Amino acid sequence: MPDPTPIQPDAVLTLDAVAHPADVVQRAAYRFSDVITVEVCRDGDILTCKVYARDSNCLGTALHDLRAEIVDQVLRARIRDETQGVRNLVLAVAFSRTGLAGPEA
Amino acid sequence: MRQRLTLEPAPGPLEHLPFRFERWADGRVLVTNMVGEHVFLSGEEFVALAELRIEDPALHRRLRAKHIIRQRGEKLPVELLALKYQTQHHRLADFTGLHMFVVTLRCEHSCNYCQVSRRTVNRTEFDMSPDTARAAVDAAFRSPSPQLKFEFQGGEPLLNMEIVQLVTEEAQRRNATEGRRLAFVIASNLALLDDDVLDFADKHDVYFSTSLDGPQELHNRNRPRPGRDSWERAISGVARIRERLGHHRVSALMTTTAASLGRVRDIIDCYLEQGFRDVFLRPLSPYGFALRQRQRRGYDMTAWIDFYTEGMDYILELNAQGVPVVETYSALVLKKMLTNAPHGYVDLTSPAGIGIGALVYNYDGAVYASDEGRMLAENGDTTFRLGHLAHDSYETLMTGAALLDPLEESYTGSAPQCSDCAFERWCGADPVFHHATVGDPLGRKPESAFCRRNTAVFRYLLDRYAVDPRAREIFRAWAAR
Repeated sequence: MPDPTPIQPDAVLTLDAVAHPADVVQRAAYRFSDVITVEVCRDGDILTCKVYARDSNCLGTALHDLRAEIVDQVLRARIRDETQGVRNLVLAVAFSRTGLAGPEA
Repeated sequence: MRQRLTLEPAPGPLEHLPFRFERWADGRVLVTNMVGEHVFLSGEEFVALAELRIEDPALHRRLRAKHIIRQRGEKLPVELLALKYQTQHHRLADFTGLHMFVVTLRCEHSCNYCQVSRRTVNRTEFDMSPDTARAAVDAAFRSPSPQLKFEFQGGEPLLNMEIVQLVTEEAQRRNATEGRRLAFVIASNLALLDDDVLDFADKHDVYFSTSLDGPQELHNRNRPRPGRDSWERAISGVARIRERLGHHRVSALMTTTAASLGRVRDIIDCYLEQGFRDVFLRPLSPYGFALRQRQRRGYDMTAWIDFYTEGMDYILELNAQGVPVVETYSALVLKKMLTNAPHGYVDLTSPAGIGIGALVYNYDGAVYASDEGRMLAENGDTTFRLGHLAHDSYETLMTGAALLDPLEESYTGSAPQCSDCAFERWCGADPVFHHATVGDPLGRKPESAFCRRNTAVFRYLLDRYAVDPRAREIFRAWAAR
């Protein structure tokens, strides 16, 4: 059986992979997975996102929303990394008083 | 056009504490800290926060007060966040306060949306036996919770009062040496309420929870029974309980069916006319008989959100006119938003409330992680069956994969989208709902009706809280209940 003809994406976004790590882009794409699906491929410093619309009438808005969300996800990742130490400290202090995180846990 | 954010914060005396954010259509940004305390920022203020270039002293104070930023190395915010986080998770140490006993599947109602798989009143083989009831009481007392609530369900539990009495008396006997705080609730349609039941409830301090779907014709349409008098019997039962035991000893729950849509004001008015000040605008659940009936009688979550919004607008109008009425779900959410106090609602927690918040002992001795899990089992899906009272130890029930796997997989602190969501601390994991609707305990949140419902509720409450001083005062009072 020959492979079926691959479905062509409805749009393609090209991003700088250093400024937009794949994890960040995938998190953004997930938020819109009810509207679009996104295939992410990395080639060197280029990240290519093939976008498939569930409803082509919504594609334009969805692309704008996706790009805006990618920017927000970059910030979320930065805050997550920057505050990881203090988050772990808060959790350690909190659970050190509960008896839930004893030596045997 | 959204402002470009630099990738690095300015070096200086301030540093970020963990926070999450969601944007509003009007340009404001909701920012929540690690324990769910929130602040709304303008777009410019949010950029200043992201870049740590905060020149406005008022903004600086707001962000420090909400533990979103701190002076570099400052210890007090860590202590305070830890204390609040610990308070929010205290229930994990004192787990399983709610124990539901399905004393029979028999019921004389034949409600189309019924969440359980009822049996006709002559089918006594679907009653819980005394041996099973005693084993269930044993299991309940294995819970470390200092408070144990015994809730009797069905079917119609008044059809098996013998077991209701046995469980109540056995629990009270055991508690003479255990010293827990016990509570007993019968979830009943009240159609079969009689003096013997009232005598028993009086003697043992038993509460009642009943169903009231709204005005007479709506209720009777939703809840058919022989004689088509479900509403009349429920109202009569409520009056008898109040007269004999006190006004506070009976509460009511409604279920939103397709027939309820567009009638939220009538429903709220009915509750007020019947002397209830709490209305829980509950959507139809996708379980049990309701699962099979949903195609015919169901509706889209958008319709429920419109129903809820109209209902809340009306409730706030009534409160402004001096009529104190509370929407129960909103009050639970507001308690999470505005306080660190325990809210006691097992469906809005993460880790999920299954097992940790509640256990269900079925009439046949099977133990389920939640009532909804039991309903699925009645339709052949035993995913949330933890074991059996006759064969499994308490340790086996509580540490098996049937409980721990869905708890871990649905945890919102690590779930896709939930872990980034500014509403996460107010929301919950509902592995049974997602299993029932999409086949896995996590679900895909962009397509999840649970997520849509809660997001809509959070946004409604926040919008009113932010801009309406009168609503803010009401919401604070609800949160403090």
